[in-house]
Formats: sequence, C-alpha cells, structure tokens
Amino acid sequence: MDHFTPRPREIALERLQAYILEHNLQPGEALPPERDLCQAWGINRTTLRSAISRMEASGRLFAVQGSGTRLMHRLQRSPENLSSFAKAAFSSGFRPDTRILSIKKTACSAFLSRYLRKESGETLYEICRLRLLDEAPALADAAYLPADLLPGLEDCDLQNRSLFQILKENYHFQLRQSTVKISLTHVTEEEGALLELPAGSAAFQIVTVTEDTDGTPIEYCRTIGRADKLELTAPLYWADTEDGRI
Amino acid sequence: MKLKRGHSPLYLQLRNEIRRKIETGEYPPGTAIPSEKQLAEHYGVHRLSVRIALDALLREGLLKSSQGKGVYVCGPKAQRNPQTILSGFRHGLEEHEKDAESRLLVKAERSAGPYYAKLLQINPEDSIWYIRRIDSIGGQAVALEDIYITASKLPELPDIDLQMFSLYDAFYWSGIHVSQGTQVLRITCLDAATARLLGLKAKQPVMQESYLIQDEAGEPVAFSRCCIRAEKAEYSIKCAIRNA
Repeated sequence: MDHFTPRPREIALERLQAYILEHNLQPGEALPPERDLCQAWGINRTTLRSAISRMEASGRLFAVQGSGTRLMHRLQRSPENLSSFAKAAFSSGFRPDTRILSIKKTACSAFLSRYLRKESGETLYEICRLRLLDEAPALADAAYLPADLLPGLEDCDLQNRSLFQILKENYHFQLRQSTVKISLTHVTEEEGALLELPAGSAAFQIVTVTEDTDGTPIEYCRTIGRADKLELTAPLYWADTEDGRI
Repeated sequence: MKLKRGHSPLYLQLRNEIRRKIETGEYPPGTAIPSEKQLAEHYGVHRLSVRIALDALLREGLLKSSQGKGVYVCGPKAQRNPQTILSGFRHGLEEHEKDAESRLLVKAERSAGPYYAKLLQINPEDSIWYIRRIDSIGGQAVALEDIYITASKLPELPDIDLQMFSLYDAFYWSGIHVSQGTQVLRITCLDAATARLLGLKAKQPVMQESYLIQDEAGEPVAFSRCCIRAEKAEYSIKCAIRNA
C-alpha cells in the first residue's frame, strides 16, 4: 500500500478544520490572529493564507474587514425542521423574519397540475415569501395550494404562523409527508434581486410537495436558498434486517 | 496440497481445493487469487484444467473475473450499500448504475492528522486509509469522492480491489455493520487542481455531500466527502410530518 503525505497547504487546512472542532468555534466567532496560528503550528504565513482562502472560497469562513476571519453561520435544515422556517432558524441561532411578498389567486399551469392533481386553469393560491435570518435575505419561496380546499387563506396570519400550522389548525388537514427534491441552481435576475445576489449565483433549489393522509397534494413549494446561508442535514440509517429486505 | 493422478479428474480436485481456500478464508473476499499460470505451475496441471476448474466457481458466483486484471473472490453481498439507505438524501446518480464507472485515483495509507482524528475519534498519529475516486457516467466525470477510513477497523483493505467491490462489502466482510451516520449537503467550490479532475474551473459551484459512517455501536469507521457537478446534483428525501 502506498503512503500518502498531504501537501503543506492541505496539512494547514486540516489543522484549521481541527482547530474549529477542538475549540468548538461558534458561527460568527473569529479565528486567532494569523501570526499566532503560524507560530503555534510552525508554518509560514503563505501556507496558512492559502488554507484560509480555500475555506473562504468554500464558504466555511468569511473575512470581516479589520476584524479577522470568522466562522460562517448557516441555517441547518433537516427533515425534522423542514416544515417550519422559524423553528429551524431559532435552533440554528438566528432571528428569523418573514416578508410576505404577495398572496394571490392564479390559474394552475400545466406544470403544476402534475404535482397538485388539479386541471390546468383551476384556481390556486400563490404565496411568495422572503425569509430573512438576522435581517439578511436567505431564502425566497413560492408556494402553490389548491384554492378550493382553502377558502379565505389570504386572510390568515402568514406573517407570524407557519403555513403548515394554518393548514392544520384552521383547515384541519392531517398532513402526512413531504417529498423533497434538492438541487443546485443559478439564480435569475429577480431571485438575485430578492436575495441580494448577482444573477447567476449558485443557490439551493428545494422543491417540496406535501400531501395529507389521503395522499391528496396540498402544497407545492419551490424555495431558492442562498448557498452561503444554508446547509441541509439528514440522519442516515441503513436497512437493519438479516436478509437485507426493507 | 498435492493433486493425485488417477483419482478424480485433476480439474475437479483443483476446483475443490480452491473452494476450500475460499471457504477457510485463505483467499479472503475482495482479493485476487493467483493467476492461471501460477496455479498451473503450482499444482503441476495444464492451464486448460485450471480454466475448467475456475469456470464453475465463476458461474457459481464464488469468483468474479475482470478482463486483464485477474480473478477475485466474492464475499457475501453486503446488504447495506447506499441503495438500502432507509433515510437520508437519496442521490439521483444511483439510477445510472449501468453506465456508471468508478476510477480509483488514490488508495493509500496516511496518518490521521488532527482533523480526521477528531472526526473518527482516534489519535492523530493513528493510520487511516485514504481513498480518492472519480465516478463517471457515460464517460463524463460527475463526482469526486474522498474517503477516510480508520485503518484498524478495516485491516484487510489494502488487498481488496475497490474497482470490483464496494467499500460496504469490505466493511461487511470485516464484520462491521454500517448502521448510521449524518449526511450534510452544502454548495461549495473546489480549488483549481481538484476542480480540474471534474472538468471544472476553480470557483465553479459543486454540491458537496459529506457523511460519517458509524458501526452498530455508533463508533465512527469512515468519513466520506463527495463533490458532485452542479447539473448532476439531485437529491430527494421523504419527510414524515408529525401531526402534533
């Protein structure tokens, strides 16, 4: 078996990542001065700089003019908190805010009819929201729901309550599951304007279709999430049966 | 063992001998057995007899051959390949299995160093296996995977051919029941040299999927980090909703 020796800048990168874990560096907290790290690890400034700039490029660290390099703060979304933006934000240590951009009735497109089991042209609610973390735009979403199932939805308090909460409490839907598709997209000019990003920037696209216990689709939602503000986590379990059948 | 002339046909004796070596673990799963030429010389038989002896074992699925590389011992199939993941984000690449190809770039031993030691809960000076491979679909590189494995958990790895067998099979043969982990998806970009391996330029975004693989006791056994080209990065997951 070959022996692998990481290059000096890889070693510096691993040291840096280990430092963050060992010192339990919290999002927003700063690394010690570069001079001190170089001295402690016996490496030169160029090597350390190269490791830091790699972590900046990958969105793990960010530089603050005049006050060093800090750990990026991201919203963690997982299957457990996917249904509530506010809950997810609080547990990641952010102050969440929602701005309702628009709520209106619209005709179901051929595309949406496939997901919502409605005919093209039937009436849907379209709700566009901007989600903010510590007052900075992070996610923009557009949700589509069958209007006939949700009379008076526009009068509900979407500002302060989650849509799922309203569906359950006001309309007594028993929601069963969401099917979520995650991909990488590039923001359009309009999305970029909302999220304060240049058009073409990479972002998460999260498409969620939620159904109730009868299997009736209740909501189709497309979310665009800033790459530097969001990470998705999920617990993994492997099948645990002797013959491997699930 | 010497083969005896005049008894049952030589190819049958040789077949039984190889079967015994597989069953006793003298030829461990995932490793190559000696070549036809070596077997012929060692047992003093014609190469044709060796081929006939192996044919039945290949058909039975005890052995597997790879053009130009040799003949490998198949262990029992691990039931915990990523395809059997019960939860977690499922990757769209799984559906391309047919024209998918995996190319090994690095398979080497290294010391864990402070970071992987922390992740794998071992000492920085402990040995780990480092594997880097590229997955292609239809000839185009789509994913670059780096895997770091606690060497003491999988001492047989150096002899196991990872082009032929999955890492999950290797764990299974070592008695490690991979059972859980945590998966994280991030959008990131790679440094120029790494990006080039995927046919990308530096700063072009990729989806990075990382996860820790744990055994049944919850002890980490490996850490994997996989970067996938933007247009191929599609994941799906079903989330149950608690009706509180």
